[in-house]
Amino acid sequence: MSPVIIGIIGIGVLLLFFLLGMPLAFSMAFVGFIGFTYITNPIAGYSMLSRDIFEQFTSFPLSAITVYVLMGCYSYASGISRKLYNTAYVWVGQLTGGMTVATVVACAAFGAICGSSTATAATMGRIALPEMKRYKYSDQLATGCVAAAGTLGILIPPSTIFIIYGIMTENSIGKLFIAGVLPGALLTSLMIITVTIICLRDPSAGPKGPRFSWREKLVSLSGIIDTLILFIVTIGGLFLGFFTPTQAGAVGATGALLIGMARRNLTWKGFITSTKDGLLTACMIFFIITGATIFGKFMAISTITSAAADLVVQLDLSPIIIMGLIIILYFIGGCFMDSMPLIVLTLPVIYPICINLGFDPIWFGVIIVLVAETGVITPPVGVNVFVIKGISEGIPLETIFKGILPFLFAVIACIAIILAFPIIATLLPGFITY
Amino acid sequence: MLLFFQKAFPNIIHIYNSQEIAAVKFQVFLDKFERFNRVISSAIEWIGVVALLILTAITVADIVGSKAFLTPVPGSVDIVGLSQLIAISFAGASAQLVGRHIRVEFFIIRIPFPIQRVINSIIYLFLIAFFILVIWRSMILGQSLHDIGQSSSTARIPLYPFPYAIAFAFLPLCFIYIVKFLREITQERTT
Repeated sequence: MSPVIIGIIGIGVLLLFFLLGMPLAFSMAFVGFIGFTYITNPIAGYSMLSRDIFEQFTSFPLSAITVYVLMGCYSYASGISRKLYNTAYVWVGQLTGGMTVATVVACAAFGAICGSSTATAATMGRIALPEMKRYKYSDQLATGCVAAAGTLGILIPPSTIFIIYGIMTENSIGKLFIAGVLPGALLTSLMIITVTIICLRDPSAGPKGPRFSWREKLVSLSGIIDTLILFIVTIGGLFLGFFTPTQAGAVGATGALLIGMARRNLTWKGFITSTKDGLLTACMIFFIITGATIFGKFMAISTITSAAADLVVQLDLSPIIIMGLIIILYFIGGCFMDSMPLIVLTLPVIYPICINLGFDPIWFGVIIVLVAETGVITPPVGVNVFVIKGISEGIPLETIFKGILPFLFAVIACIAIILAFPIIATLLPGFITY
Repeated sequence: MLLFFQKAFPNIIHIYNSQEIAAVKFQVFLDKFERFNRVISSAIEWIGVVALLILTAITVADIVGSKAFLTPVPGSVDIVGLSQLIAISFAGASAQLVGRHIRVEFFIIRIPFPIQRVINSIIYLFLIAFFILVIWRSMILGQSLHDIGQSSSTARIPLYPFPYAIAFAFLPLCFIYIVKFLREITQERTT
């Protein structure tokens, strides 16, 4: 049997294990090990297995993920997220649909210190949903908005998926981070426009909140100081080349911790809980990366990656059509799988194809992260939707999915705009020289 | 007397046969084993927490040392990497216990329950075999690193204990699936 056929069988078995409920990380490692051993020999397979686990777990570049996850957890425990929401609420809460706009803005701002869409949705959902319920916002609009706006967390730096993409494709993490800024701002604007249109058509969906004086508005701005400090120090330090990604994340985590302690918002229990939460999240990510690395070794030795690239070249289609097909593939894949494992699993095959076709690797990273992220808000495996379902008591899943639909169009519009105008993603990275 | 009542009220009084008693005893044993494994997983998770805090503290100390005093922490890259290994591997079992390892569930939950149990049993068996393999090979890697005396590149920390740490940390993860497998294949006899 040729190695390519073994590779194809391996992919089939992997998908079968996914469907049968085997944890994704273990499925990839298991199938990768079996396939690699079958093509080479048991001694090589055994050696690869233990060495890969050891090397991934001790990887210094990957430690950036650990500290950025910790930074997000400490920021939540320190009450920074609540202050952000309060500031946004004071400024735009009195408008029709103002609280949903405030939620979108707060999610974007929290995305600047948290690298996970699920964490952003969960954090803001806990704060914003009770407020919107109090002011009789429609369940559909409230839950859909929070679940969808959570995706901003992954696009606006720092972003765990950008770190993984950068390490896997050997691209600058700093460039990827800054590349996400304008698309993140664009998506935020599109979501605000979506909320406005919904509320103009049905004002009862988002009633006006209380009006605040200019003095109160100016005072409320103090709520964004903590976020600004953290963002400027960590991401600013990274962009200026003062910190490595790991150092920036560690400074951010320590900064969030110190802010929480200084403001007396972070209790000992909160510190322990958030540290454990960060550890378990980082652990889950590391297991997936390690599993994908082992599976990637199998794919590489089966030569399926080069065979796929050759096949695409032979198809003789225009690059933009191939990109369209890749986007559709990721969109469908995102419906069934979390965005991170989807990207980690497919990147070794898809990335060389895109580079061969002449696409900019940074732009491609932004597009792929954005497309795969739609998976967290689409059925049947929309992680953000399940998170919001867990927070919002008694609201059916169907209502949340219906609420998400207009925001999904906003995400698709954002993807289309970045496809048409790649400069949105490539402009800022041009200013970074490392 | 008991037999008389059992015949008179078969729905109320049920006399267990020896097979059923053995099955109940086995479930009690599994409960105890599961509790023991939870305690172990939770205890080693604390080691992971400490390692994570060391990782963060060393990185920050290295920045302060190198930027402010021009004296970086010697071997900080090695310490960070090895602390990370301890943090991640020792949290693996707890992550499994609280359901953090992502799995696709929408298909399996639609399958009839008896078939689900057969599939789960097979999956658990594969995973047990895989984790035993990881534990075994990690120990062999530790042994080989010990034999050649390999240490980290800058801090010169001996590397051999760390694959042993992975092997040790994967034990409770393996136990979790052994319990799951045994529960899956013995469930019917006690319910």
